[in-house]
Amino acid sequence: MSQPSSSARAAQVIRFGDSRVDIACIGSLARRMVEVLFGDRWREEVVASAAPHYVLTSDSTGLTLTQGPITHCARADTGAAAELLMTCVLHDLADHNAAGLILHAAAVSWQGVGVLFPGVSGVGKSTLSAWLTSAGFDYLSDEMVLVPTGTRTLEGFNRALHLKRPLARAIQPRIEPYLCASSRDHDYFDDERGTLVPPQALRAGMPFSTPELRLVLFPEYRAGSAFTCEKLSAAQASAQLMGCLINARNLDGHGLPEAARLSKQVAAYRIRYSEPGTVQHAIVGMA
Amino acid sequence: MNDHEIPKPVDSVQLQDFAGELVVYDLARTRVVYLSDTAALVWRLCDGRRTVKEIIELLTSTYPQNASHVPDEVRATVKALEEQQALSALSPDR
Repeated sequence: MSQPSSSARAAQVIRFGDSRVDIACIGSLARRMVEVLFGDRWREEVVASAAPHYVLTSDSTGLTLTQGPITHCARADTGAAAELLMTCVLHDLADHNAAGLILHAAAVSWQGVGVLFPGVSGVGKSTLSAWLTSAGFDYLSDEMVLVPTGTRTLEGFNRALHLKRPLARAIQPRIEPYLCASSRDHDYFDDERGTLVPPQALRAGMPFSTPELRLVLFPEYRAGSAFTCEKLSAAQASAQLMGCLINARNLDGHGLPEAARLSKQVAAYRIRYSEPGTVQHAIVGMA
Repeated sequence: MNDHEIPKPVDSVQLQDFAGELVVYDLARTRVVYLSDTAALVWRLCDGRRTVKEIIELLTSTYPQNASHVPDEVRATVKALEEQQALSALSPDR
């Protein structure tokens, strides 16, 4: 067996599609942060010393995130470092990824049925996926989902959920037990906009799955609104999917042929809701 | 916009046909536009040769039962697609 060269080092490697990001962690809090933020996504590997994109260091003064000569943050608190690390990793994983459609979307699975919630920030993706996870759905992602080219497989970037503050009324009682029993800065992180919590905070022992996409719901949260559901044509769904596509420039035809293929194969609806429970009932009915 | 204008798709668009409806994706502006059956019909006639007036006349003769609605629908569709920069207008004396 060959020995690692002297220039090799251990790093937390995070893969998604055909991309990877390496993070060399120095300090126990740095390592813990990667575990909480990226859950099942990371693996410890030995990589060439030139390879790690990032070095995350924790010490008594705080957290420092560097990328080669660039210092993203120095002696930052855990919330700021966690948010920055998450932003950098998501960007890097999507930026050159050509494995398929990478969508700005949440996703869950119900009894093997993959449900996609594409949408821009603010439509309620994180709250919806958190609520459904706590109700027994399998969590796939609250932010970024890959559908590999030529497939209907949903591969969620199953990171820590980013729940905006104040916590939605529907979510609060479901997450409070975890927050009360856990340590901030160790088991979850508060940043400027919200709280980053691992999906296990909502449901322990959840399997990691890559279900077949069977239902696309374009959500719109509107306080006080009754639940409405409007069937979309394949063309309408395709146009909306393109609006949520992160890596268009890496794909043949900018991803439009793939978005069209998917839209022709999978039922899509535009939904408006105020109570996540109404979405749960709709999914169970449709599935 | 006037009826003598000659609308033409901008060079950077890519089309996806859904048996009637269309999705127009502007590669340069990374912008997507959905076209209903009616809008797609108008789009297909905007070929850089016909004027808006000629498109109206063609659709009016093809769909005489909708003749009263055709002019406004064509003008509105062309105007909307120009505003979304999916169509550009050529002057008739080009």
